[in-house]
Amino acid sequence: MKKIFVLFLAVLMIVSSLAACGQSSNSTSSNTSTAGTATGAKALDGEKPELKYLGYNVSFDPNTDGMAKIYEEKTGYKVKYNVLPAENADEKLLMEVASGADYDVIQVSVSQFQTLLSQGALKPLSDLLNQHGQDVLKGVNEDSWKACSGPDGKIYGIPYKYPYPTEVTTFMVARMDLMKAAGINELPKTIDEFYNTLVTLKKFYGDKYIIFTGPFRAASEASVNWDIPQSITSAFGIYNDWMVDENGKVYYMTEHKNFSKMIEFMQKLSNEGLIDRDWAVNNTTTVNEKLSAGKAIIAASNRVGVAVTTPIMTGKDGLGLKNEDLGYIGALAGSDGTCKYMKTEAINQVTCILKSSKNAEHVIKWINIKQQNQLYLNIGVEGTHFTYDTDGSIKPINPIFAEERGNSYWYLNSTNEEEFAKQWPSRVRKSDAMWAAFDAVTNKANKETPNIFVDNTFAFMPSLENYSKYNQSLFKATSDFTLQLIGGTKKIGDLKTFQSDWTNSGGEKIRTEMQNWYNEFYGKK
Amino acid sequence: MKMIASKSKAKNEIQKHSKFGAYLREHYLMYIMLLPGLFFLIVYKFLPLYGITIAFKDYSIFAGNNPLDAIAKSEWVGLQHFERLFASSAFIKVLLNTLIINLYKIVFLFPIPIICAILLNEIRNRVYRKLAQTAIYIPYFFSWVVTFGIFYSLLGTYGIVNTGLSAFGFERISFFSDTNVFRGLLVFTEGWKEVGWNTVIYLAAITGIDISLYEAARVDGASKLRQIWHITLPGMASTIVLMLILKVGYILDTGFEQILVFYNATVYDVADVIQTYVYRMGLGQSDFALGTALGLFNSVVAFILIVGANSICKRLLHRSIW
Amino acid sequence: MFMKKKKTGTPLEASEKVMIVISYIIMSILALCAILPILHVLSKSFSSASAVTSGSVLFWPVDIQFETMKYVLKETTFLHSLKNTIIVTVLGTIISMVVTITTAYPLSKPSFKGRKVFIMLYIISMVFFGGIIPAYMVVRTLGIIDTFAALILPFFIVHFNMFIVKNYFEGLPESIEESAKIDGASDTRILISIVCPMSTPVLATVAMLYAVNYWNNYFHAVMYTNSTEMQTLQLFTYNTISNTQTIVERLVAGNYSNVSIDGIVSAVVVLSLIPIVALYPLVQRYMVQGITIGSVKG
Repeated sequence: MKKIFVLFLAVLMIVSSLAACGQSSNSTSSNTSTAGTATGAKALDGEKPELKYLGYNVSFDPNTDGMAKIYEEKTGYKVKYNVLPAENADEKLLMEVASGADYDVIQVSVSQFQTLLSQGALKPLSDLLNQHGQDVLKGVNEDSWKACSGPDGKIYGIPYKYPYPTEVTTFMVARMDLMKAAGINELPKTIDEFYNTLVTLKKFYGDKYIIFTGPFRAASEASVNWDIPQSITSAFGIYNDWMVDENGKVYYMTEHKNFSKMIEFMQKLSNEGLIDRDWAVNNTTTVNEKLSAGKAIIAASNRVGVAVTTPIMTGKDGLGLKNEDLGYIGALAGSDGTCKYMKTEAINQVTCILKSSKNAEHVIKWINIKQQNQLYLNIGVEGTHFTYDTDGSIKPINPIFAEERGNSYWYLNSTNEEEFAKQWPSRVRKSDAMWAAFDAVTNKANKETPNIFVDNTFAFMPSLENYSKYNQSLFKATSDFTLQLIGGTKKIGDLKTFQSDWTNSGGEKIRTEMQNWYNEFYGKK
Repeated sequence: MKMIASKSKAKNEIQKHSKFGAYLREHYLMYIMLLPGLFFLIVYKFLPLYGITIAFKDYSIFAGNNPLDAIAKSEWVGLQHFERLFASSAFIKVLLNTLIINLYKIVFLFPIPIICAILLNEIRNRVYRKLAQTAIYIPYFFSWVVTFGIFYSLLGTYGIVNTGLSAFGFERISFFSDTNVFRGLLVFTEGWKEVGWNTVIYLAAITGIDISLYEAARVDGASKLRQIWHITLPGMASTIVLMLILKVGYILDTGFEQILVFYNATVYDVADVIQTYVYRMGLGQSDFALGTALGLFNSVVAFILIVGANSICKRLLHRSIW
Repeated sequence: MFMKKKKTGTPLEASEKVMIVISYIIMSILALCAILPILHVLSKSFSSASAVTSGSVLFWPVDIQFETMKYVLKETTFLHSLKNTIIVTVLGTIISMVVTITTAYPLSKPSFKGRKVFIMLYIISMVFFGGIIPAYMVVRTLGIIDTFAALILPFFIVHFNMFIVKNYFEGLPESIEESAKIDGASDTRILISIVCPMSTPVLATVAMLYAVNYWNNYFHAVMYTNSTEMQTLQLFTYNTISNTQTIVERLVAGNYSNVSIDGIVSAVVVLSLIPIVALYPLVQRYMVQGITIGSVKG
C-alpha cells in the first residue's frame, strides 16, 4: 500500500514540479540571490527582502490594516503576514512546519514553541541576537530568556511578556443604584460581606433580578476559563491551577485545603438562589446581555466586558445609569483575611525562526528596529496620539489613537519590558469604560493592598512535555467537575474519584515534571 | 408495455452471449465517463487511506522528512490507541448517549421532511409554495454558534419563553441545564436547522414521479391519501431508502458540532457523545493517532451498518443503493 | 400534454380539500418557525448597539441604524472573502456537476459491466477516510496549497449527491433511450441530449447541493489555504465570531460607538446568507413536475 502511495505521489510531484518550473523561473533566481547575500552581516545593508510572517489568529487582515504601512515605513521591511486559523491552529501549524513551510518568522504560543523546539525545527538565535538584536537582548529580562532557551542553553525564541505585571484581570461589576435601594451603600470587601450582600439583595428583590451572574468565560473552545470567578477564589487562597506550598511541594488546586470550602460556598449560593440558574451555560455574551439589559445586579466581567456593557448601561438608550452607579469588586478577602491574586506576569507569545528560513538575520534586525521604535509604533507621537499626564502617565488622544495605533498589539514581537509596563496602561485608557474599571480595581489594589499579588511561580516555566500534553484537558475536567458540584449533579464526596481520575489522566506525571523544574529553577536542594 | 418487455428480454439474451470485449467496444464511452470521478477517488480518497495506519502507530509528525514519511518511520503500537478509547469507564456511557440521541433524531426527525415535501407538493398557489419552501430551508445556513445564540435568547432560563412562563406563574424551565429536557432541545434545534434542507431533496424526488400515474389514479377515483400512499411514496422510495441507510450508517457520527456548542458540564450525563468525549480528552494535544483511531472505528461501524441496512432494504423493500 | 399538469376541470374532492387545508396550516407554522429567528438576526444587524447587547431586539429593529452594515462592508475584509467564495462556488459547482453526471450515468445502467465494483469503490471511499495528514500531503504534492483548486478538490464528487443523481437516472423510462440507441446514438449523445434534459429538476437540486457545499465549506479552507487573500466567507465568519474581544477593543474607541459585536456577527450572518438563499428560487424554476416524462411516457 505504502509503495503504491509513494509511487503515485512521486508521479504527481514530477508533474506538478514541471508545471511549477514553467511559471517560476524568475523566482528561483531571486531566491538564490538572497541565499547568497544572506551569508554575511554586511550584506544586510543591501536590499531588504520581503519577510514571510505567520502569527496568531486575528479578526482583521494584518496586510491591509493601516499598521502594516506604519511598520513598513519605520523598519524598511516589507512583510507578508499570514495568520493561523482560529480553530485547529495546532494541527495546521504542525502540518505546515513538518512539511517544510517557508515562513521567515513565526509567532506562536508557548506550548507550540515548545513542540517545535523539542522537534528540532527551530534555529538557535543567540549569535544572531548578539549581532543584530542588542536592543531586544537588553529589553527582555533574564528569566524570560531562560524560558525561551533550549536544553543546550541557546536562545530559540523571543518572548513577548504580558505587558502589566499586577493587573486584576477579572472582577465583578455591581449595580450601585439597585444596591443602594436595598440599603447597601458599601461594596463588599470580604467573602462574608459579599455573601451578606447577596442575601440582602435576594430578600429585597426576590426573583425580580438575577442577583449574581457569571462565569465570564469566552465561548471559544480551548480558552482557559475559571468557572468560579477569581475574585472569589482569591478569598480561599486559590490563585492558580498549580501552586507550591511553603515546603516547596507542587500541588493542584483541587488539593488545596480550602477547595471543599470554596465549593461549599458556591453550593450555598446556588441552593439559596443567589446565583444565575444558568451558571453552567453562561458565556461572555450571555453575561454581558444579562447585565446590560438590567436583568442582573452583580456580574462577573473583565476589561473587555465592561467595554461592552458600560457604554450601553450609561447611554441614553440603555438603563440611563450614571458612571457612579457602577461599582467594581476586585479580589475578595477571606474570613481570615487571606487574599491571593496571581500576578499577571507570564509569557504570552514566542517569536521564533524556522531552521529553513533564509532571512534569519533580517528578521532579527527587523525585530530590533521595531523595539527601538516601541513608543512610536505602539503609542504614537506625543501631541498627536497621546499627551503626558502630570504624574507622567500617558493619556491617549481619541479617536486618532484607536485608528492609528489600535491594532498595533498584533505586530509586537518583543518589548522593552520595563518601559512597556509604563506605556501600556495608556492602551487601556483609550476606552473610558475600561479605564474606570482598571482604575477602580487594578490601580486601587496596587495602591492599597499590593500584598495580595502572589508571584506566578511557573511564569517562566517552559512548556514541559507532559504539561503541554495533559494540562489543558485536566483543566477542562476540573472546570467541568466544579460546575457539576455547583449544579448539584456531583457531590463533594466525589472528589476522591475525581482525584484518582486526575492521577490517571496525567496529573501525577505533570506534578513530577513541574516539581523537577521548580527545584532546578529556584535552586531548591 | 408488452413491446418494451420483449425488447429488453431480447437484449438480455444478446448480452448473455456477448463477451466483455464486445461490450467494451460498444460502450467504451461509459468507461471514459467514469475516469474523472475515478481520478478523484484514487487521488483524494484512496491514496490517503494509507493514513489509517496512524491509528496503529505511535505517530509523531516530525519523525520523518515530511508528515507522510513520518508515518512510515513511526513505531507500530498495535491496538494501544483503541484501548485508550474503549478502556475508559466513561466509554459505555458516551456510546449509549450517542446511540440514544441519534435514535431520537432519526425517529422524530426522519419522517418530517418526507411529510413536508408531500404537503408542499399539494400546495397549488405557486407563490406561497415558493415562499414556504425558501423559508424553511434558510435555517440550514446558520452555524451552530449562531443557532445557539438565537435559541438561548428564546429558551434560556431568563429568556423570552421563561419570562412568559414565570409571568403566568409557572416554574422556569432550564432547557440548557436540565437533564430531563436537554436531549429534547438537541432534537428540536436539529430539526429546526435540517428539516427544510432535507425537504429539498425529497422534493426533487417527487418531481421525478410520472404525472400520468396520478391522472390514471384520479380517473379510477382514488382519494388523495391513496394517491400519496400508492404513487407518491413509492416514487420517493429510493431516495427515502438512500437517506435512511446513510442516517443509520452514520449513527456514531452526527451532531458533534451541535453538541459541542450546546452542552455544558451539568448535562454530560445525557449529552456527552463519543466525539465530544474524545475531543475533551485530547484538548490541546494535537493527537492525530487517537483521532484516526476514532475515525476508523466509526468508519468500520458505518460500513457494516450501511451494507447491512442496504441488504435489509433490498430484501424487504426491493430498493437499495446498489 | 403540458396542459395536463394544470388542474383540469374535475372538481376537487373532499379529501383533496382537507389535504390542501392541512398543508397550508402545517407549512405556515413551519415557515414561521424558520422565519422568526431569521427576522431576529436581521433585526439585530440594523439595531443600535444598546438594543442588541441588552437583548431587547426581537423580530423588528430597535433604533434603526446602518452603521453595523457599513462597518462590515467597509472596515472588514468581508467583500473580498465573498468574492473568493463566489469564485470557488461557481467554478466548483460546474466541475462537480460534470463529474457527477458522467459518473452517475454509467452506474445507473443495470447492464453496465463492472457496475457493482465501481459502486463498492464509491461506498468504501465514502465511509473510510485516511485522516487530514495524508489528504493535506496530497494537496501539497499537487502544488495547489493556497489556491482555489485546493478548495474544489475535496468536493469534486460528493458521494451522496452522486447517488441521488444515479437514483434518479435509474427511475427514468428506458424506452426513450432504447429507441435512441436503435437510431445509432452514442452513450454520450444519449446522456447529453436525452437523459440530462429529462432530469433538470434533480440536476438543478444537486447543483444547489453542491453550491451550498462549496459555500459552507470551512474545514478545507482552514487546512488548505494560508494567505489572507485566499480567505473565504466561512473563514471570515469564524474569525469574526472567535475574535470578539479584539473587535470590541477596536470598536470602543473608534468611530463606531453604535456598533455592537453581536450586531456585527448578525450582519455577517445575514450578508453571507443572501446570495446563497437567493439561489434557491432560481433552482425552483426547474422543479416543475413531469415536464417531459409525462409527454413521452403517456
